[in-house]
Amino acid sequence: MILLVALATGLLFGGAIYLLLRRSAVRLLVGLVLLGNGAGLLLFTMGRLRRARPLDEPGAPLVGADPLAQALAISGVFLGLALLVLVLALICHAAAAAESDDMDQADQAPVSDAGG
Amino acid sequence: MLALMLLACLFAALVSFVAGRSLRRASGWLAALVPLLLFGLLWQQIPPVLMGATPVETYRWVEDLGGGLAFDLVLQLDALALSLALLVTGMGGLLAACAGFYLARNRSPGLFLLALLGSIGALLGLVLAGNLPTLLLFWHLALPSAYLLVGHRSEERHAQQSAMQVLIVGVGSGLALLAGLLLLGQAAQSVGVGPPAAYSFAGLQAAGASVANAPLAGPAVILVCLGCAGWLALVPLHGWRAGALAHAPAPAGAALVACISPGGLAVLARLHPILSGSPIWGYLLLLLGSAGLLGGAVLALRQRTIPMLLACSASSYAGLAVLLAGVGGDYAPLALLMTLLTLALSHGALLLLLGTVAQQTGTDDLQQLGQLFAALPITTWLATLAALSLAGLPLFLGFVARGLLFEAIFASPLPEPVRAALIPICLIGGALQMVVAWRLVYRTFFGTRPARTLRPLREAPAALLIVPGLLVSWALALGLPELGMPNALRVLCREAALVIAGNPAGLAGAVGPEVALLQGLGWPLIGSLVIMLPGLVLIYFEERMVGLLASMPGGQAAGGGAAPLVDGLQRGAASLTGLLERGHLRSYIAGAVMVWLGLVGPLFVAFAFGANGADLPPLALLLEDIRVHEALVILVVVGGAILTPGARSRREALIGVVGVGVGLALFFALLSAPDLALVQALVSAITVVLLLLAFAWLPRRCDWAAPRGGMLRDALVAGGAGLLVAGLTVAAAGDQSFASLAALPPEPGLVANPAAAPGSTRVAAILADHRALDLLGVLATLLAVLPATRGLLQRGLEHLERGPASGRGSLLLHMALPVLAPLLLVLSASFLPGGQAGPGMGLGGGLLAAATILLYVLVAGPAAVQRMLPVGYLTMTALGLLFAAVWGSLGLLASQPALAAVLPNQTVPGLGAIGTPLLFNLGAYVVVVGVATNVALLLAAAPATARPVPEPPESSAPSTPLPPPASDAHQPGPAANGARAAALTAGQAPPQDEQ
Repeated sequence: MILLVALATGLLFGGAIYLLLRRSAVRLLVGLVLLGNGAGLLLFTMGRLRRARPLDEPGAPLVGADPLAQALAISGVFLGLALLVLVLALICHAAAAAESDDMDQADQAPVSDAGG
Repeated sequence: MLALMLLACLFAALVSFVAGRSLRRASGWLAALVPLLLFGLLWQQIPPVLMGATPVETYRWVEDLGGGLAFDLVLQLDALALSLALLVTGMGGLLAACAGFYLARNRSPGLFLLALLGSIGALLGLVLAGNLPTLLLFWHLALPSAYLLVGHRSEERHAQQSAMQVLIVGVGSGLALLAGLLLLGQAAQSVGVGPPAAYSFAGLQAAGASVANAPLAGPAVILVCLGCAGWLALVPLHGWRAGALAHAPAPAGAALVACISPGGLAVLARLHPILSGSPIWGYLLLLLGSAGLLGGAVLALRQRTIPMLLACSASSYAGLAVLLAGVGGDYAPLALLMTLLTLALSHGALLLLLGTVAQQTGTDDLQQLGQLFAALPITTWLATLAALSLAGLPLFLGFVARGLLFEAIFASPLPEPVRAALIPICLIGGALQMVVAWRLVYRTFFGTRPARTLRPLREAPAALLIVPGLLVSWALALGLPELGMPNALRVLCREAALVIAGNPAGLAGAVGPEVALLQGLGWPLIGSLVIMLPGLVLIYFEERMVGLLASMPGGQAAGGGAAPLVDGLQRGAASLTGLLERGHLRSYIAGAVMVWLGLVGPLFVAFAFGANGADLPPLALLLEDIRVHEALVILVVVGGAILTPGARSRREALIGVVGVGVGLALFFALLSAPDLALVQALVSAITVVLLLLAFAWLPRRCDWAAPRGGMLRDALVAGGAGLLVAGLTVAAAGDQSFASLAALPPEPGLVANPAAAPGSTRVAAILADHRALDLLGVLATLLAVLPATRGLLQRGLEHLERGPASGRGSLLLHMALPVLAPLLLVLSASFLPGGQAGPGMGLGGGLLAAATILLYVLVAGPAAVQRMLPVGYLTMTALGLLFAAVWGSLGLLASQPALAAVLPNQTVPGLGAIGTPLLFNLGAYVVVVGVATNVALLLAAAPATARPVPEPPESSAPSTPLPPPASDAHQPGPAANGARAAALTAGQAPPQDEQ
């Protein structure tokens, strides 16, 4: 089982980094989302996989997934969301100023134009 | 008191920096007050120190580095420290007093005085240091001030280069010394000295010769000697000081020679009793010292300018001092101290005097100067006296030093052949030093040709004569021990010499050698007179010798030795910076990932395939227990992770992202992590909506079809990173060293109903209580993002406030929403009290509510949602965070840790369990709702310019997360790109026009 999870984690990270290395702003955004997901999965897996009860079933035994790993993953997911929002705003601002999806052109766009 | 002295120096440095702006030249006198005051205080300490009192002050610095290794700041005032401290503060005060006159009129002397007093403070700390960490600390503190001193004329390129050289040599020596002293500490520990004692001088000395003979002591000795040789500018490494003296103001040069050299020698003197047992210590010092003595003197004769000549001469004297440290025996330490004093006093005086000469005549070239005697009689006299002391003539300090030198060689415990070899070396060196001193004074003030000067010469202001005059008179007074030298100083020098020799109990025990001039017409006296003979002979041949030396290959380059090195270093640094700083996000990311791969990758490979390969879990464990439904869910994630990077349109990319998000949420749910699953699902949904909204801002012109350049390289980097993460995941699966919290019984108080609490509710307890500070941090991060987003999307904000309140959503959703939304909101609120007894919590509830509002945004339009709430969303978010923080800090009032659950949840009929955790969660709920809604609103109000011109693509309203605008689906070919660009240009209507 862990092999499958490792495969998914590796693919998420690899795909995310490949997307982050592209010139396109959209790909950067998508890559960031994948990276956040990969980090969540990695953190969760660090608490080891355990399947006691899929969801809240009354009377089931008490053992569930490691709550600490879950709590860390939840914090991580939220921080990823905050990061994504900030990058979204930055990229929307830059791309609207450069009128291009190409990050290299956004680099050189005049900043003063962007405020509208 | 010692620490206060150092603080006083720092304080004076800062004050004179400020005062320099208004007081100009007079600020030098102000700055001189503190060092001179310290000099007086230290002077008063002479009697108690001679009585055997050694004040030691210890301050805790680094508490505990583990293994009992703690570093203290130790300052001690024994005879050696006192004598050197007197030298440093006295010289420093005098230099500060006259510094203002040497600096350019149009510039505030504040920065110069700051650097000068800073270096005095650092060197004072260096000589007072009582253990190795303190020594290293002050050694490195001296660096920046030396850099500022040398680079004072910052507009000159040569001054910049010299300052850079100082920094590079200083950092290099400092690193060598650091490594050497650390090795020394290790060597001491290897012979059984405990960690605190192994890093203190007293402890090392108490350990005796065993430390010096430990295997690690050899490398330590070499590194320490190299570091000190660099700092003392001994001949192969002399370039930095020659450059510094040539391009820095005269007081800076004098400070470098007279204050900073004692620092280097202080290190040698401190370590001498510890390391003198080492077989290589003495010979290495003899080697370095001889090279410095002869090389410096020869190079001095090749120089054409005064500062370069003085720099090489100072190197020669420093070499003599180092040589004396290697000679050993009873007299050598005393001779070392006297040589050091000669070096500092005479060179300091000469640098100051000839600095004024250079200022007056406009040149410091020896060939253009001459016959200044008539115009500058006082300067001439003072310079001549200082040079006589350098040359070692009777009645002067230099003469005492010479006499002690030969006495030391004869009394040395070195083998006979070595001693025999040292005598000619010292004779030739002394003779050459005489020629140097003679040449300097004769060519400048007498000579055959008159100097061509631009204006009539006048004596320098009195202040500029008083300071060198004082230095010269000290050289005289110390040279006449019986007549001029105060008895206390004489005994102090003897005691300091005993400290260097490693026998500090001198007063009580053995009687050390005296500083003596005329202890009878013994043959040391005759010897010191005899050594003047070769000097006199050489002076006769001075012209020819200088001509011969100048014609030798190598040219004038005294400071040139280090210049190519420095240039090369700077060029290398510039090209490295250019290589790393591409200015593109992707190059930074690629660099970071590659560094990570390079650091972690080999370690992982070594772990997985090395001798410890058995640590990896066996394949059977990796493959065991695969269930079909879970595997399917994972495959959805895998499919999404493959689809997204290869996506050829925004639609495909979004589908991939949704697949990953939903797949992960399901996976978490299946593996009994309902809280995480809930959060994952909601965050995925919100992320997709935000991405959709953001895509409206981004122009369609993009390179989806043909990303330019380096695909293979990027794929390799990304693939390597993915492989490594996968490998680490597998490796971690085999690790059993941490027990899961899940199996522990729940704690009463945190959880409302412990009997009913399933393992998963611990997540809520952890988030809201154990790790509540983390949660507060997460909330603060979310809040911090909001103002930035608002600032960046300003244009959207304006549009939002004036825009039409009409949605673009589907009719079906429009009709369903009034029913659906209240249900969803109630559900989200119900997560709140449930947070302690079932899955869900403030964060999850907030996400659900935010998702509901986002649905509104999509259906009814952003403007309508904006007007729904009387308070701004930013205010609401901030209030939410404040609310959470207030309930969290209640614990402090109840004298419990912050964020503790002061009021555990009590079950209230009809409402659920209420207590501080619930209230804290309520704050989190509000923050999440506020941030998500506000960002969505801002993004939804995309400016008209960024939108595609024809409206139809937008009409396929993104009411569900998946379908992006239709026009995205087909591939933008070159022709389509052009047409689209034209359409974009045509449709660039500002938002105002649209209204």
